Amino acid sequence: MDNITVKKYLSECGNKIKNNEIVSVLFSGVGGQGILLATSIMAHACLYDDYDVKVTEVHGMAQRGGSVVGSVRFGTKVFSPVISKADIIVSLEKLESLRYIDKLKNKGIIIINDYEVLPISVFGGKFSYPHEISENIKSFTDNFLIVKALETAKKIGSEKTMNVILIGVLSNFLPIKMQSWLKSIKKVVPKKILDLNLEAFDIGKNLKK
Amino acid sequence: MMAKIPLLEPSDSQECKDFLKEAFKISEQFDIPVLLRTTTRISHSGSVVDLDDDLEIFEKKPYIKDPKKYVMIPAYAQIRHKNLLERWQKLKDYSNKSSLNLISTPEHCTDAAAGDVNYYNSIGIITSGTCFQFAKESFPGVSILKLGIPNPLPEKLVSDFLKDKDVAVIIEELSPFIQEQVRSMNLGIEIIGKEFFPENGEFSPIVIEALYRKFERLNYFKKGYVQILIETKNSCISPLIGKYEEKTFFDNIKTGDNLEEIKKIISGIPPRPPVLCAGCSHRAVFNILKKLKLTVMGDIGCYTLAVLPPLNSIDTTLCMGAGVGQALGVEKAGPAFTGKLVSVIGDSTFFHSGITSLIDNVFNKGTGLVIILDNRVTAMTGHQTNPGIGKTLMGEETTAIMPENIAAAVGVKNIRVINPYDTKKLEKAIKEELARNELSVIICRQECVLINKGKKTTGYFINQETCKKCDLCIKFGCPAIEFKSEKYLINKAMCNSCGVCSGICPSKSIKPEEHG
Repeated sequence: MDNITVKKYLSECGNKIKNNEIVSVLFSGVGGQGILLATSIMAHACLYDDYDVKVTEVHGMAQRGGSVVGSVRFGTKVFSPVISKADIIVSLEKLESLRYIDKLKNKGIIIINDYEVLPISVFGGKFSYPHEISENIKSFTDNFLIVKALETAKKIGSEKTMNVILIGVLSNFLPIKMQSWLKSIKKVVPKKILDLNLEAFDIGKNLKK
Repeated sequence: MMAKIPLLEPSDSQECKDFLKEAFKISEQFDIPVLLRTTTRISHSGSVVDLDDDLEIFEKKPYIKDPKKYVMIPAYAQIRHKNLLERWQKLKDYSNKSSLNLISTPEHCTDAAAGDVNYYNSIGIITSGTCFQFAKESFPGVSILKLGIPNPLPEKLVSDFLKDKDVAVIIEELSPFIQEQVRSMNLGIEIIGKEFFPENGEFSPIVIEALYRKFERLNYFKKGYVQILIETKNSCISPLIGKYEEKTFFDNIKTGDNLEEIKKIISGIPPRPPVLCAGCSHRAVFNILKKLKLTVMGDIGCYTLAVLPPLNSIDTTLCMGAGVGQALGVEKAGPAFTGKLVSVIGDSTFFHSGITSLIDNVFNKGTGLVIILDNRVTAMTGHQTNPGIGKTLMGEETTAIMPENIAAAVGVKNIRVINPYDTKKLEKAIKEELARNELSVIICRQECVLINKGKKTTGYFINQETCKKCDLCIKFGCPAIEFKSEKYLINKAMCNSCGVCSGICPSKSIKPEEHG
């Protein structure tokens, strides 16, 4: 995805908001990856930009490694917290991007973290992990972006910042002010790890494909 | 409805706050308990809340002795029932006038399907709770009666709202509570709801949109209901009726012809069920129960996950405290289970409602084995304290009640407290207690691994030279044990050093890391 595509998408997104439409972003991943934190960062950023926001999450025993989904919907006025079709999906794990692909709107964008967490079900022999995720995603859409967040996260010193790196990538597609993103991260992220996460956001925002 | 308890149903976070205040007011005014109903989606969603700071402080009323009100012997209960019916009548009037029941009219209609028509007037939606939000987005041009107080149903408001409509669409999750009451009002118009929407599961905007699409297909928005009815009169069935079928639809598929491929991809997605944490002591216990092929009466807690692969060892879970009683029942009904049956219950669940069934086991001469999984916290709901901890929920010091003391007090003779990480000792104890023709209690005591989350541990590793690749460690189901590039490995970041896996490995290849 080049800069022109990103800019085009950003302006389309801005137009939607102007037309009183709602923009929906779905976060998917595995329990423990910080999906709910990512959801909260985005929701607060929208609030600081004076949008109406609704969030919802499905986290059946998230602490215990299950599949987790968080969603954010924002606009002038939002009714349903539940997403019917998402404008953007951000998946913190490869396999989980495929699990929720039916939620992606036609011409929607999916941002995928190139990171695998093997579910217990692949050890029984019945299922195999779809390592070549881009091949599968291509059957649904060409609008996908694969981010190698693990490498970057390791470089800045914590694998746990992958969620915020992806938030940084996501910020390029949404008409939300930079200062609102930063204000939100400062509000949501614990002080002890704030600097690390601000760095992660910045790197994510400037990541080229 | 029959209990005559008023029900308030908020539809977003703001209303959760506002309605609670209202619920207290109703309770005071009508001297009645009030239910505030929050369904799954209301509890698991968030929206903007305006905090108002003008708290109203209610003065505590003095206690006045009034046995005719507070002592429900039959003679007094009859008096109270009559009194309740009177209060209920007043509550009905209240519901008709309350601002919690409101009509939401469309502000504008940019609905292409609607065209110029009078469909605003001919359909009315009645809904409550989270369904209101879905309806508002799926039917932007339709008037909606939103019931903040579904019980008692504001009948006058409903009939006024539907006066000039020819179809009422009732959108509610689960049973047709509103729909059947509206129908029994005999308003002479078509009332639809459960003929179309599912009676099970949570709704989503997709479910509501399906009805919208049906209206669109019938050209209802242009022609109106009466016209459609005339056109389809030979079919004898209402044109709007027909169950919604849940279809996963993909509007993002690039081309139509790769549907088979799509289906193949989707059906091949490996499920990702939740698992017990790395180092969880429950895993050690259930691995033994599985190995000994025991029938296990379970209970509610993190350990209920042992029903899923790879442990597959729980046979029943009904409600809190049920397992211990079920074990006694199974023993009485099927003597063949003697010595092959255990019940398991967590520490907090034991305090909550396991004690009465333990007494039942003692009283009725049960000979089974009750295993209390004491992880020193109420883990599943987020690490609250319980009566065994020695701290109240507010963190104040209090008396710690120990399950072994309770077991001894109610007359259990065979009681052992064991650290489940010591699997050899635990297995031996389980076998011995099962062989005994008397009731036994084993308390497996080991702190939940999340209590000291982040604590540095030395960890374990798998010696690749001696590993026989037998797969047993993977089948143990610990998320810290991985199989990558044909190698069995322990993920150091996840391992909590419980060491249980090293006892499982037949080739003794799992070893603790050296210090350093």
